Amino acid sequence: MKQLLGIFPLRNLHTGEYEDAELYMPIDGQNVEDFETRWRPLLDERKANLAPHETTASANIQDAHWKWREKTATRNNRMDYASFSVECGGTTQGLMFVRTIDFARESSQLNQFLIYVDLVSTAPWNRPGFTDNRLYSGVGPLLLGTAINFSIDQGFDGRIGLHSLPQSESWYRDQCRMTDLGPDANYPNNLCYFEMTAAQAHTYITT
Amino acid sequence: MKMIITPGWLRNKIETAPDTEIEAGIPVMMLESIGMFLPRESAEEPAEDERLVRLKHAFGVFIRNLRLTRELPVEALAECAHIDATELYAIENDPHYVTKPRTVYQLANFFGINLKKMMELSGATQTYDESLEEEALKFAAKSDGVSSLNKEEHEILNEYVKFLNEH
Repeated sequence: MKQLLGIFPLRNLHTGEYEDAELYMPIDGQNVEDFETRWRPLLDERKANLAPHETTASANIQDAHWKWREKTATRNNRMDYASFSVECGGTTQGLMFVRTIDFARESSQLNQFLIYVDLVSTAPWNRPGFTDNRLYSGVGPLLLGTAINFSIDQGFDGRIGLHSLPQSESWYRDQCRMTDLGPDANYPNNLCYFEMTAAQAHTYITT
Repeated sequence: MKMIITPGWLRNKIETAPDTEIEAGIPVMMLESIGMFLPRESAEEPAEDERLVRLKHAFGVFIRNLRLTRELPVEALAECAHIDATELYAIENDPHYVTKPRTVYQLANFFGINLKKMMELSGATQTYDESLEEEALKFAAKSDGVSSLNKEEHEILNEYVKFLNEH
């Protein structure tokens, strides 16, 4: 059953005011509907209107699609997954899916348990790369903080791991101070793998 | 989940860190639906079917018998495997109990059992392996729930461990 984890402020960039957002675990049918009816049309439109210089990227997307299809085999009914949503302004502003058990690769914490972030995403209208007229600020930090919080709750000391999309690498490396372990040849599109140690996690959620 | 992060902390992040892209993992543009992530209680299938309950019962019997072969009380096994004794008690006695994946890992590691099979048997991951279910039910049916194992029960347990590790 959907559980309210807390109320957190997001900044409405149109008004400059803070608004209360709700953080939930797990996702529910309403989040799925928001994704299908509000996120999807914007994402599809973006995909259909790629700039000429993005044609190659588009081709890569098609090529990688099969790999992603394999990777995203049904997740429901699995106990080793957890999901979170951020809701504000009457709709879903962010989503995160995590694997509740995985093993660290970074040398100082090799093979220790961590939470693996399988997918984290904000609504298209909140992304700097998607629109110049973004709506809410703060969804990303809230979801990353939630992943760290969940890791601590599970007894994993805040350790998390994730594969960053290229446009997000600088945020994970420079803002979140996660360790960049480089491109992962075993992951679709060879995305870079990042890990947060217990010390890095502590710093992130206390500063 | 007990929350450690606070509204004040988030407000500070928003005001001090520049906004940027944060997308990670599977690109949502690639997803045909996020319905695949709906949790058990929201899925179309019943929350807990009889088959899963039977598997989890067999898992509880299996763990109990492994513990008895080592002549370990619940508390002692919990300490050795670095898990919670209350959870171990629930695994052995409540087929509706939802075992944490970390606990399954710790038990599989301690007893030297194939982790993937243990995850399936515990209900932590889905299985479509009918033979796993069949053997689990046979194994559970042959165990009589006593507090110590006789020679025949030891043999049954050893055969089942062999099946899980070699299957």
